Amino acid sequence: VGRVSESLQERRAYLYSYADRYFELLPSGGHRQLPIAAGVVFTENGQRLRLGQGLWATATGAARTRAVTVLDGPAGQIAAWGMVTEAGQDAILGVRLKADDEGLIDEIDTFVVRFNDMASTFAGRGLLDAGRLASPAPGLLDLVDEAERPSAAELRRAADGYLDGVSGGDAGLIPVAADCPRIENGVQTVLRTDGSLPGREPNPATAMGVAQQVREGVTRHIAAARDRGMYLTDPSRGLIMVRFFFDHPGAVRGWPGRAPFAGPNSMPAWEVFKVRGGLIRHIEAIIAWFPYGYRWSAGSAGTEEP
Amino acid sequence: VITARGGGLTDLLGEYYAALAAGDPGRLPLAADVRFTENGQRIAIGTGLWATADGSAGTRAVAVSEEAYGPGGTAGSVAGWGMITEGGGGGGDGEDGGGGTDALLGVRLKTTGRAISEIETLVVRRAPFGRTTFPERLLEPSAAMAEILAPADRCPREDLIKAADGYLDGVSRDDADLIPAADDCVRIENGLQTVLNPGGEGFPETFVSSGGLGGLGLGVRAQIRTLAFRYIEDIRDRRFVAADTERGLVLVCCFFDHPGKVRGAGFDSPIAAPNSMLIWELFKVAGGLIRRIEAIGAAFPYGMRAGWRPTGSSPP
Repeated sequence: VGRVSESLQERRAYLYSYADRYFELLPSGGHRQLPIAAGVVFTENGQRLRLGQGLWATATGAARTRAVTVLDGPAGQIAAWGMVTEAGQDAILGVRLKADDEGLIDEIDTFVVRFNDMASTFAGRGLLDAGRLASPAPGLLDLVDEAERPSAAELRRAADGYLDGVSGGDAGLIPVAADCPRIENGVQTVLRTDGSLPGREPNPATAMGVAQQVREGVTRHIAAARDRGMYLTDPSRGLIMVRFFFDHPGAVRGWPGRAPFAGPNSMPAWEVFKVRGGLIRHIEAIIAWFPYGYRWSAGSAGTEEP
Repeated sequence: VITARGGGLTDLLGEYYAALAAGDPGRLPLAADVRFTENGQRIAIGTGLWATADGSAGTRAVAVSEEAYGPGGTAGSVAGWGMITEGGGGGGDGEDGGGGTDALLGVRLKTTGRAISEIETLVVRRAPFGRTTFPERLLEPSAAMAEILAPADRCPREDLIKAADGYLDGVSRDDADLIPAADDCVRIENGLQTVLNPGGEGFPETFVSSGGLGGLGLGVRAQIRTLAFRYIEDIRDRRFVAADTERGLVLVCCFFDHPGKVRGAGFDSPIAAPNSMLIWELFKVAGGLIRRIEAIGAAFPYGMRAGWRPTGSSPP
C-alpha cells in the first residue's frame, strides 16, 4: 500500500504546477486558462461563489512563490498559501485544489486573509509579516528520513492532538518538540527572543513554546477547534494540513480569564504541521476573524433552512 | 400566552433585551425548537452575545410589529434595534480595558402566539463611518417612525413592500426613477443621517462620502443620480419581515453585495475588498412615498447568507 501511495504522490506532482498557475493567473483574472472540470465548485471564505468572483475580480498581484505547500497525491489534492495584493493591499491567499481522475480541477476552496477589512470581526489590524510569506518556509518541503517518517494516521493524530490540546487547555495532548516554531500570518508567535509581537505591548507569553503556552493558560480564551476538515497529508515530507475554526466566546460574564476580545468571534485557520520522529517540529498557519459560529461549508452545504 | 404578559409584541421585544442583559434566556417563552441566529450564524441560545451582554438601553431606537390574533394569542413578528453593552462582565483586560463595549443590536422575533419560534439577531460591533462611538441618537426612540398615520395616508401591506422594493431596485441598479421617495426623505444608517446632511453632522473628518464631499448633502434620489452607489452590485435575499400599515412601516432584511475594487470596473469603489453587508432597513411610507428610512448593517464575508430562507412578500 505504501508503495502505491508513493507512486500516486509522484504521479500527482503536476498539482504543484496547478497551484503555481492559480497564483500566476489571478491578477489578470484568467481563471478560464486553468484546467477546470465542468461543474467545478469554488468557495471563498466558506461562501460558494462563481469562479471569477471575489478575489479573482479584485486581485492586483501575486508573489512568485508560495510560503507553504502540501501535496496529497493519493487524494489528488494540493493546498498552498502565499501573498497576493488586492486593490494594492497585502492579503494572504490559501488555495486548495482537487483534481479529478482526468487531471481537471473539480474543487477549489480558497481562504483570503484580508487586513483592514470591513468584514473582519477583529477591530484592530491583524499582524502580518508579508516578507516572510513571500518565499517558501525554510525546510518545510524537505523529505523526512524513512526512520522518522510518520504514517498518514500518525499525522492525523498529531494535528488533532494539537487542536485538542490547545482548545482543551491540555498540553499533554500535544506531541510537540520544545523548539517547535509556530508562524501565524508570517509572524512567529512562540519562542520569541524579543518579548513581544511586532508593534504590540511586551508579552511574556511570546517567549514560551507551544506546549508551555497551553500549560500557562495563554490559550484559555479558545473554547473549541471546530469544523475540522480538509486534511491533506504528505507522509514523505511529514506534512499535514487541516482547516478549522477556533471559537472565541469573548469576555463571557463571570469568566475570570483573560479575553483578548470583548465580543465573540470565530477564527478561521488553515494550519500545517511538520512531523518527524513522532513530534511536531514546525507549525505554519493563516488566520482571520469571522462571525462567531461561522462554518467552512456555509456556501456549499447551505444554511438557509426555514 | 404572550398577550397575557403585557402589551403585545413590542413589549416582548423589550423583554428580549432585558433577558439578554441579564444573560437569562430562560425568562423568555421560547419554543422547544426555537431557531436562533447571530450575524447569520446558527448557534445555540445562551452562546454568542447571550454570554457576553451585560447591559441594554431602556428603549429601542425603532420597533415594528405585525400581529395576527388567533386562538393561541398574539402571533406574528416584531423587530427593532437598540444599544447594548457586552464584555464588561468578564475578567478581561480586553481591547476596551475591561469596561463594557457598546454595540448596536437588532432583534427579530417570530411568535406562534404561545412561544417564540424564531430569533434572528444582527450585532453591529463597530462604530459607524470611522467613528469611535455609536451616535447618541440610537439611545432614543425615533418619534417619526412611531407616529401613526392619518387614514388617508395609509396603504396596504403590498404597497409598502412595493415601495421598499422600488428603493432597493433603484439603489442596486442606479436608477432613481425606481425609488418612490419624497425629496425631503431622511435616511439614518447606524445612527447617522446619510442624506440631506450638508454639514456632515456626526461624521468624522476622515470620512469621505462615495458621492464626493457634497454627497451627504443630497437627497435619496439625487444621490443615486450621481452614480455614487455603483459599487453596490446587488441587493439580494430580501425578506420583508414585518409591516405595520397603521404607521406605514415595513422592515426588510437583505444583503448588499460589494464586490470591491474590481479590475476594469470603470469607477472607484470606496470599498476595497469584497464584502456583503447584512442590512435591516425600515421604511416609513405615507401617501405613496417613502418619507423616512432607518437602517442598521454590518459587513460580512462576500456571499454570506442570513441563515433564513428568503420569504419574498409573504406575511409573517
